[in-house]
Amino acid sequence: MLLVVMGLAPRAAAQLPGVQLIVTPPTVNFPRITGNMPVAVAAPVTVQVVAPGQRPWRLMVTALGPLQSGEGAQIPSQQVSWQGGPSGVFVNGVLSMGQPQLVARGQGSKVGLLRFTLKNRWEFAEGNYSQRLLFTLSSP
Amino acid sequence: MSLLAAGAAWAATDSKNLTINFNPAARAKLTLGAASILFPDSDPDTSPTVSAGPVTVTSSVRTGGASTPTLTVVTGGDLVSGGSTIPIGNVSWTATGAGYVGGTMNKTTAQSAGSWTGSGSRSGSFTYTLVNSWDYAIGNYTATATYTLTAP
Repeated sequence: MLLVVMGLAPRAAAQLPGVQLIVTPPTVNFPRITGNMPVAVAAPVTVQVVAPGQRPWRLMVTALGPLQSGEGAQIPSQQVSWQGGPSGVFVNGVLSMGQPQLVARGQGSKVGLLRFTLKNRWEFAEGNYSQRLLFTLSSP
Repeated sequence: MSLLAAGAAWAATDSKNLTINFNPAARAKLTLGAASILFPDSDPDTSPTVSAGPVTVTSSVRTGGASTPTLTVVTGGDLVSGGSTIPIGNVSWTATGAGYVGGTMNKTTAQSAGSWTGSGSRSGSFTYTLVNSWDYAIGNYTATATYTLTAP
């Protein structure tokens, strides 16, 4: 009698392909505001989420600081909002410094547009302001 | 024996930075609530001065945080009616609103009507007073005052 024992080594869980986030362009420039425009609207940002199959995901954005000028003036993050589309996946929101805000949630690969808007106020000092946002895509 | 890999929890993340830029330039906008005022005719004995207004004023300025925007006024000349004149120095004004100041009209040197520090939109009002006198000839007197708001 020949006893054959096959060495069935436990197979490691298959490495699932990850999710990928593509944000273009990497910079948003609010136009110089003319006349009595109450808001400045930037050109849209394209957000592409690459997720295999129907893998669920969630996209958040965090303002890493206020809009800051070289002279030390600041514009609070809450002055910047966005409109996201297509609806049902991408949502509208307002930036918050240090507090991640939901941008989109869905399953599988999606492409959307974010259009950022800045409230225009006389109280802003002139200057060259800059702010960094961090988009984080996660798939639980 | 189970060959299922228990606890095969997985997670995947990706992140990207986006930079936002905004470059507001200096600008100024002055709004007066009236384009003209009319002093009432009155007996100089009972009304040694006559008043007009108030005229609301809003000075909106975007400038540097430590800059000093200013509002000045100068007239193009005296009050004139045909060949008669009333010295423009007989017209003065009082002001309400933070940063606004009263003064006396001048046809050669711009007079300060307000100043502030930094950007903002400030509202106030001006009330004008004319010294009344029996010496004035009858007529319809006119003068033009030019207000200039400057965002340095």
